[in-house]
Amino acid sequence: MADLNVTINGLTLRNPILPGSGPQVDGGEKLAAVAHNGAGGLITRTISILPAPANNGHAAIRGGYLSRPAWSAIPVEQWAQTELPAARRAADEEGIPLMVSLGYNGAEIEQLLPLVRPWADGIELATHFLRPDRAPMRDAAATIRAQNALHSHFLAHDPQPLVEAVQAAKAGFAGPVWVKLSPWGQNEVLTVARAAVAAGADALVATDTLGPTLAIDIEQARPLLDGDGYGWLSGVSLRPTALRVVFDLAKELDVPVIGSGGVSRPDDAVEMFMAGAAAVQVTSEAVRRGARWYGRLAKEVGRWLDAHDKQDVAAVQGEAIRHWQALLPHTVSTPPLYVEDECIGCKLCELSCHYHAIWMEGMKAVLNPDLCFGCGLCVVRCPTEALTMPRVRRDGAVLNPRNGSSLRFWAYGLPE
Amino acid sequence: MADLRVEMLGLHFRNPVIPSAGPNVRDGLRLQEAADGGAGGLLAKTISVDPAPVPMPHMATVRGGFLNTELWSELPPERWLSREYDMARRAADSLGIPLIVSLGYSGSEIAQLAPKVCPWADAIELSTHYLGEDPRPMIEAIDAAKSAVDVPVFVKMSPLGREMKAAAQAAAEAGADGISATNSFGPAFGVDVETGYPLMGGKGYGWLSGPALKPLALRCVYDIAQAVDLPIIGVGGISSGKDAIEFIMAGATLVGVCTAAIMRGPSVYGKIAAEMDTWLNEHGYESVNQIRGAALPAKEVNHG
Repeated sequence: MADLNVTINGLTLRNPILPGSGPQVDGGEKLAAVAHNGAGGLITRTISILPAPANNGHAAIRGGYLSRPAWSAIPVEQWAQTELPAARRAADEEGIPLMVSLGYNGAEIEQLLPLVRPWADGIELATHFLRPDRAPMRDAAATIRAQNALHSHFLAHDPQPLVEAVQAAKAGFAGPVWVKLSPWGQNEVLTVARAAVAAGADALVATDTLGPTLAIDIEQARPLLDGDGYGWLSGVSLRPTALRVVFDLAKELDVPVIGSGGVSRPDDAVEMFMAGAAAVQVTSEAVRRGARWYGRLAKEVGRWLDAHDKQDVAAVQGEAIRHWQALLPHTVSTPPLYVEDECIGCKLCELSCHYHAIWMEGMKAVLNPDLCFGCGLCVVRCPTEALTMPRVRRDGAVLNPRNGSSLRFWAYGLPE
Repeated sequence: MADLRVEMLGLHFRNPVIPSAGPNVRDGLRLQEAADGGAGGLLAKTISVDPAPVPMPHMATVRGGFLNTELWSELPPERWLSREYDMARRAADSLGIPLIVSLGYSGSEIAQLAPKVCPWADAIELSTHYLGEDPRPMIEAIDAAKSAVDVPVFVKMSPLGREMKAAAQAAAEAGADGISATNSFGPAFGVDVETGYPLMGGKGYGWLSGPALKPLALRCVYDIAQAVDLPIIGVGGISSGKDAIEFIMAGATLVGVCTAAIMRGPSVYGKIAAEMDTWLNEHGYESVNQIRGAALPAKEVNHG
C-alpha cells in the first residue's frame, strides 16, 4: 500500500485530498462531515469581518459550474464561538490539521486573526475580493460590486494589498500562511505569487475560479445566472488552466503548491502532483457528490499509486516538470510507434488525422510515416496502447515514453 | 424549415456556421471538404509571411477540452497563392458562399500579405496577439489591412477579462469592420499521467479550446456586443446547434467551429446548422435573425 501521508509546512495531512474553500465547508457541522468522511485535512470557507450577502448564483453547465464568488454568510463571531470549535474537535478526532480561510485585506486580516487563531493550524488567505482601498470592508454588497469593475490584472500592477494581507497574517499568526491565487495571465500570476512569497507566504494554492464567464439559458433567452449574468468557472473546464498555474508556480518558486481546479477523479489528482502540486483541493465535485467523495478519492489515489508501483505522492510529484526539463523543443515530425496487434479498429485515429497519414484497412489502422505531420492527436485519442508518440530529449535520445527505452530514429533528421 | 441565411457586411452566408482557423482548414482540400460538409461560408487557415515552425507534438484532447500549439499555417504563403486559395475559391463559388482569408500578425506582415490575397478574399480576418495591455500592434494590423484592401476586415481577439469591452472599442476605433471572438485561451497545461510527460511539445504549454473554452468565449462575445455596433463571429467550443444558438443570442452574427471539426470531421458544420434549424423550428422562429442578441440587456442589441 502506498503511503498517502503528505507534509506541507510541517503540517501532516493523512492524505493529499483537501477540501477547497467553498459551500461544502461552510460551518462546523459541514467541516466535521468532511473530516469524518476521509479528507486529508480541513479548510474552512472564507471568513470575513462582514457576513457575505445572500447569494444564489450557482449553476451546473456542461464541463463545470458557474458561480458567483462569495465568502461565508456566517458572522465571524459565530465562527469563533461555535463553528471553529466544532471543526477543531472533528480535526482532532481524525488527527488532521485545520486551516482557516480568511479574507481579504490587511486591516481585515488583523481584526480576524485574534478570533480564529486559537483553533487554526494554518491560515489560507483568499484574494478574490482584494481591492485597492485599504480600509476595512463596510458594505459587503458594495465590495462585491466594486470588485466586479476592477481590471483582471490589477494585483499584478499593484500587489501591495496582497503584500499587506500576508504581512498581517504573518505578524498575527505563528503557523503557516497559504495564499490562494486567481488564474488570469501567465506573467501576472507569477508576479502576484512572487510578491506573496516575498511577503512571507509559506505555500500557494492554485487556483481560484476563472471569470467572468457566461452561460445562456436559450429557452428563456437570458443569462443563466441572475443579476449581471456573469459567473466564475470551476470544474473540469478550469482544470487545464489551473494545471498550468500549478506547473508554473512549482517550477519557478520554492514554496509548496496546492493544486485546485476541476479535480474530480484520481488521475486528475495525479496529474496535479505530476505538474508539481504537493496536495490538491476539491470543491465542485464534493459539492455535487457529497463529503464522502473526499475519502473515496483518497482511497482511489492510493490504488492508482499502487497500480503504478509508486510508494507515495512524492514519487510522482513534479514528474512532468522533470520530463519537461529534459525534453528538446523541436519541429521535426516524429511519427508514432504503431503496434498493429493492439489496434481494435475503432477508427478514431483516421478521424483525427488531418494529414491523411493513418487510415483503416479492414479492422486495422495503416500508418504512412512519410505523410505524418507529428501532431500527436491520434496517439492521445487511441483507446489502447497501439500508438505511442516518441519523445525527443535535449541529450539527443529519442525515447519510448511508455517504458523509457531508447529508440533509433535516424530517419527523422533530428539534431545530433 | 427556418431560414438560416445570414447577410453580413454585404456577404451572403447560406447558414451561420463557418470553420474557424485551424487544421480543419489547413489547405484547399480541407476547405473543399468543409464546403461539402455544409459550412455556411469558408475561412482559410491563418497564413503569415513564413511557414509556421509548429512544435511537435501539438494537439491533444483533454477531458472537457482540447490543447494545441498550432501557431499558423505550416504551408508557405506562396503555396497558398499558387494553389490552395484557387481550390478554396472554386469550392466557395460552386456553392455561392463567401471565402474569408485569415492573415497574421504584425502591421508590416499584413501590409505584405493583404494585397496578395485580394483576388480570392471576400473578407480578411486578422489574427493578432493582443492580450489586453497594449492595443497598438492590433491597431497597426487593422490600419495595414484597411489601407491595402477594400473588403471587410475582421480582427480576431484573444479572450480577455474585464478589458474585453475596451479592446473591442479600440478595434472599432481603428476601423475594424467586425470582430471574431475568441482565440483559444492560454497557456494551459496537460500531462499524460501514464507516462508523466507533458502532452504538448515546444515549451510544454497548450492553448485551450473546445467546450472548456465556451463559457469564457461566450462572455467575451456578450461583452463585445454591448460595447460596439459591429458584427461578431463567435468562436469557442461550439459543438452543437444549441451552442451556436447561445452565441447568436449573445450577439454573434456567425459562429466559427474548429475543435468540433478536428474531432468529428468536416460534416460537423452541416450537422450544427441542421440542429440550429431544428431548434428554431421547434421554438416557432422563422429565421435565425430573429434571435440575434436576444439575451443581451435591453436596448443594446447588436445589428450585425
